[in-house]
Amino acid sequence: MQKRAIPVEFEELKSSGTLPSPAGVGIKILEITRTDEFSADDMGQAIMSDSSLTGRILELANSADRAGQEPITTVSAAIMRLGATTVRNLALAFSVISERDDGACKAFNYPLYWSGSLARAVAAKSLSVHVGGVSSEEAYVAGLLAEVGVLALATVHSEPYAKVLLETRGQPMSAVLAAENSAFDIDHATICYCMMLDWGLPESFASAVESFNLERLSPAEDVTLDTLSDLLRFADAISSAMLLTATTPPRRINEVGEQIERLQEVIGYSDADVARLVGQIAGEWSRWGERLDIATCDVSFESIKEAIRRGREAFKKEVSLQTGGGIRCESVVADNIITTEDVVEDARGLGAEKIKVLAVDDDPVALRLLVTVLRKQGFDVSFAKNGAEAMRISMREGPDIIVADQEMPEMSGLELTRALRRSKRGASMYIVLLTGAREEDLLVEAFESGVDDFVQKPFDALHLIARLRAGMRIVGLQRRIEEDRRTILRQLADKNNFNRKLKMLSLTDLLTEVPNRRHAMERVESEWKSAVRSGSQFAVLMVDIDRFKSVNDTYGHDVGDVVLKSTAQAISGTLRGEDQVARLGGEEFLIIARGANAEDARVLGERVRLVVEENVVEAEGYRDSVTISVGVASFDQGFVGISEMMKAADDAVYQAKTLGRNQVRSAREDSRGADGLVARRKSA
Amino acid sequence: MQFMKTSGETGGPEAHTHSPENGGGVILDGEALRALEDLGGGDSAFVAEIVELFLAEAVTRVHEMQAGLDGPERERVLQAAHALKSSSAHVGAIEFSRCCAELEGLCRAGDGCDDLVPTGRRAVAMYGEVQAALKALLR
Repeated sequence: MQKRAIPVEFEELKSSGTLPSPAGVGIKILEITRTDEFSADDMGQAIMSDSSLTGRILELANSADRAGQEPITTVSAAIMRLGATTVRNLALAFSVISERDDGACKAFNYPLYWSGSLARAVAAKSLSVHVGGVSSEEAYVAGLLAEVGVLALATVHSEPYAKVLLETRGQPMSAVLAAENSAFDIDHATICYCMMLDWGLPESFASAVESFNLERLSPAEDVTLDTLSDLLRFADAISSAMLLTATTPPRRINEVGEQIERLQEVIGYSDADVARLVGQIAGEWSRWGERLDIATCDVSFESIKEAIRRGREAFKKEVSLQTGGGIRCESVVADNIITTEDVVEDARGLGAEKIKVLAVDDDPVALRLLVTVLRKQGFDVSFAKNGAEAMRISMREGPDIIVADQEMPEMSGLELTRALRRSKRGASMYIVLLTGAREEDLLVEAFESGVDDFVQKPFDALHLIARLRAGMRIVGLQRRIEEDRRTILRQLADKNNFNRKLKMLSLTDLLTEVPNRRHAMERVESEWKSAVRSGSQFAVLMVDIDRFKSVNDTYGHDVGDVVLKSTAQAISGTLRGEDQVARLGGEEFLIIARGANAEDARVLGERVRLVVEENVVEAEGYRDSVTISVGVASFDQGFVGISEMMKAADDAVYQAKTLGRNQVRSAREDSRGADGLVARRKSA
Repeated sequence: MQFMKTSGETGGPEAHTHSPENGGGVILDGEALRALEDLGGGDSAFVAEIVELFLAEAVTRVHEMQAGLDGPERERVLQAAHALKSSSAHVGAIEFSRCCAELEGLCRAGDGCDDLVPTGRRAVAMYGEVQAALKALLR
C-alpha cells in the first residue's frame, strides 16, 4: 500500500512542538530505528538504559497468552521472540505514556483517556488470541495509541478543542470528526494516521487505526475480526463498556451493547465465556494500571450488563421522546474511580489557580503540622507518607512545590528529588528538603541533585513560609512563562490557520465558491506536467453560459449572480471526484478532467451540458434554465503547450456559439460537427 | 505564628514538670506548646490531636529503641532515635528530643551497642516522663 501525502495541517500541528511524543529513551529509539535496517542490538541497549521500560516490555513478552513458552528475562530475548519491530513499537508506545502530562484542555478528561486507552490495549491483546493475523503485542500497541489524535488536538489546540468537545458532547463520533475538520481543517483520525507514520509504524497499521477512528461501529455484514481495525472496534466496545460513566450518553451505551452482542456472535461466545474474558481483561487492566500509574476500576460482566440494560432503557425513552441526549441514565460502571468532576461542563478560561503543594514526611506528627501550616497559607495541599507515594502523587497531580523530609526509610528526600528531576513533570517542581541539623554536609550533593532549598527540622513555621515565598515567586514566573508559551503557540496555530484560509480564499471564487482562475491554471499546469512525465491523460472543457448578458440586462445582476452560482453547483455536482470546475471570470468556467482523452471529455461535456439545460434556476422574478456552450481540448490531441491547448478549447467554445450555442465542440474538430469527429475517428 | 523554639530556652515561665531523669530539666517546653496552639488557631483540639498522634507514634518507636538496645541492633536504635528526635520536638519535649539527638549521634559515630546503652536507657526513661506529662495535658 502506498503512503498518502502528509497534509500540511499535520505539519503545522507538528511545528507547534507540543504533539504527544516519545521522550528520553523513546527519542533515542526513534533515532536508532529511523531506517529499516536498524541495529536491533543498538535498540536493545537503548531500551536497557531505562529499567522501567525494560520491565514493561519483559512483562508483556511474558504475559499469560504466551503461557507455555519459556519466560524471557532480557531485552535481546524479547527482540528474538517478538521481533525487533514489535519491540520497537512497544517501547515507543510505553515511552509516550510515561511522558504523559495532564494538559490544559479543560473539557478533556485526561485520566479517562489514559484509562480507556489502557483498557482498549488490554482488550485488543486478549481478543487477538482469537485472530490469526494480528499479534497480541501489535494489538496492544494499536489499542494504546488508537486515539492519540484526540490527545494531540487536546494538547496543541487546548482551548479551541475544549470548545469543540463541549459543542459535540453527547453526539456521535462522526459529529466530533466533522467539528474538528471545520475548526482545524484536520480531524483526529488523520492526525493519528500521520503520527503513526511519523513514528515509523507501518502504513498498514496506521491505516487500520485510521479506519477504526473514522468508523467506530462495524459494518452490519462481514465482521470477521481478522483485521486490526475490526479488532480495535470490538476492543473499544469492551473498554467503553468497562468505563461507562454517568456522562456516557444512552445512545453510546446502546451502541456498545450492540457491539458486544455482535462480538459474541462473531467469536461464538456464551455469556459465561464473555464474563470470563471480561474478568481476564479487567484483571490485566488493573495490573497494568498499577504499573503505569493509570486509574482503573473493578468491573465485572454482570455490572456491565446491568449498566447496558439501563442505558438501553434510557435510550428507548430518548428515541420515543426524541429528546436527543437530554436523558441522563444511571448506568455507571466506573464513576467511583474515574473522576469526572475536574472536567468542566462549560467553557471557562484559565483562572488564577491555587499553588499546589505536596508535603512528604514519614513522621505523622511532622506531616500533620506541615499540612496545617501549608493549608493556613492558602495552598492546595496534598500529602504523602513516603517517597514512593510522593512520586505517584507528583506524577498524577503535578504539584508546584514539594516539601519533603530528607530522612525517610526506603526512599529519601534526595532520592525522591532525583527521581522527580528525571521526569518531564518533575523537572519544574520547586523542591524544599527538610533536613536535620546533622545533614548539612548533604548540601552540595542535594543542590546538585536538583533540590531548590532547605529548611531545618524541626521546622519553624515562619521560617518555612519565608522560604516558600521564594518558591511561590518561581512558580508564578514559571506559570507566566507557560502561559506565554501557550499564547505564542496559540497565535502560531491561529496564524497558520489564518494563512491557510487566506491561501484558500486567494484560490477561491467568492461568488460561486468554486476554485478561481489562478487555482485552475495551477491545476492545469500540474496536470500538464504529470501528463508529460508519465503519459497520463487529461482534458480541459471551456464552458460559457449562453446569452448570459441578456439575463443580467433583463433581470439584474442579483439574478445573474444566482444563475452563476446555480450553474457552478450543477456542473460541480456532475463531476467525478478527480475532476474540478473553476470559474475563470464572468460567465466562463473551466472543467479539468483527469485521465480523460478527447472522446471521454466530449462525453463529459455532453453530460454537463444536459445537466445545466435541465437545471431550473430560481431567483426573484426569475424561473428558467440556461444553456452552455462547451469547448473541449485534450492532451492526446497533441498540443505543444498549455496556452495552445487553452486557446484551442476557447476556439471550440466560439465555434459552438457560432453553430447555434447549447452544444459541445471539440478542438481540431472540423465544422461538420460532432458526427464528423466520430466519422474521422472511425476512419482512422 | 512561630510554634517551635529550638534554641535553648528550656526553663521558660510556663515550663511544665521538671525531669528527675535530666537533673531537673524541663520535660515540656511551654512556649513550644503555646506556639502549637497558635498554629491551630487557638483550638485546643488541634493540640490534642497532635499530641495523640505523637503518643501513638512514639510508643512503637520507643519499643523499637528498646528492642534495638537489647538486640543489640545499632541501626534499629538509630532509626528510632532519629524519628523520635524530630517528632518529640514538635510537641515541646525538647530535652527528650536532645537526648534522642545525642543517641542518634552516638549510633552514627561508632559500631556495636555498648556505648549506646546509658544514653538509650536515659531516653527510654525520659519518654516515660514525657508520656505522663502529655497525658496529663490531654486531661
